[in-house]
Amino acid sequence: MNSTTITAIINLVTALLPTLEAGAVTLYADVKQLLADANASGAATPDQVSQVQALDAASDAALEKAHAAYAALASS
Amino acid sequence: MKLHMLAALAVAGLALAGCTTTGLVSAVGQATGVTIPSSRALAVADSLRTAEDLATTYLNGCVAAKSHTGACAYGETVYNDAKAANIARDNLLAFIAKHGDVPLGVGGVYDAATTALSTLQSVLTQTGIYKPAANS
Repeated sequence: MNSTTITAIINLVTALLPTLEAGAVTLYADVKQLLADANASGAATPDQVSQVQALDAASDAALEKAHAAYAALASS
Repeated sequence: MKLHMLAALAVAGLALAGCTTTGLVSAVGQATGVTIPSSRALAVADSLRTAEDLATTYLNGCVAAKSHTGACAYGETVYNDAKAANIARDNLLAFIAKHGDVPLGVGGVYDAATTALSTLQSVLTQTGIYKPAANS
C-alpha cells in the first residue's frame, strides 16, 4: 500500500467521522430510551385498550370518508 | 486490493450513516429480551391514531381546496400509509389485549407499529402538515 492510498483512506475516514459519531450518539440515546421504556412500570388496563379501540373505529370511518371524497375529486 | 479496501470503507460508512437506528435498537432489544410495557405500547397505538387523524385532515383539506395536485398530490400515498398504519395498530392492540407487554423484535407487532408510524409521519411531513418534535 503506497502513501497515496493511505492518505486517501485517512481522508475518507476523517470525512466520515462526524457522521459516524452522530450515528453512534443517536444509537446510544435510542437504546437508553428503549431501556428506560422497558424499565418503566405500567400495564394498560382492558378499559384503556377498549377506549383506544373505540376512538380508532371513529378515526377509521373518518379516514375512509375523506379518502372517498378525495378519490372522487381526483377522478373527476 | 486498494480499491476494494476503499470501497469497503465507503460502503460501511454509508451504511452506518444512512440507516436509521430503529433496526439496531430493535436488534438490541430482541437480543436482550426486552419487552415494552403495555402502557407504552398503547401510547404508540394512540400515536398511530393521531397520525391517521392528520391524514384525514390532509385529505379533507385537499377536498375543500378542490385540489389533488401540488401539495395535494400525496393523497393516495397518505391514504395507503394510513391504512397500513391501521393494520399495524390493530395488530398491536390485539396483542396488548391478549398478552399485555409486547416483546421487541423484527417482524413483531411493536416493530411493525413503530415502522408504520414512521412511514406515515414521513409522508405527512412531506405534505407539510406534520412537524416532528424538535427533540425527536
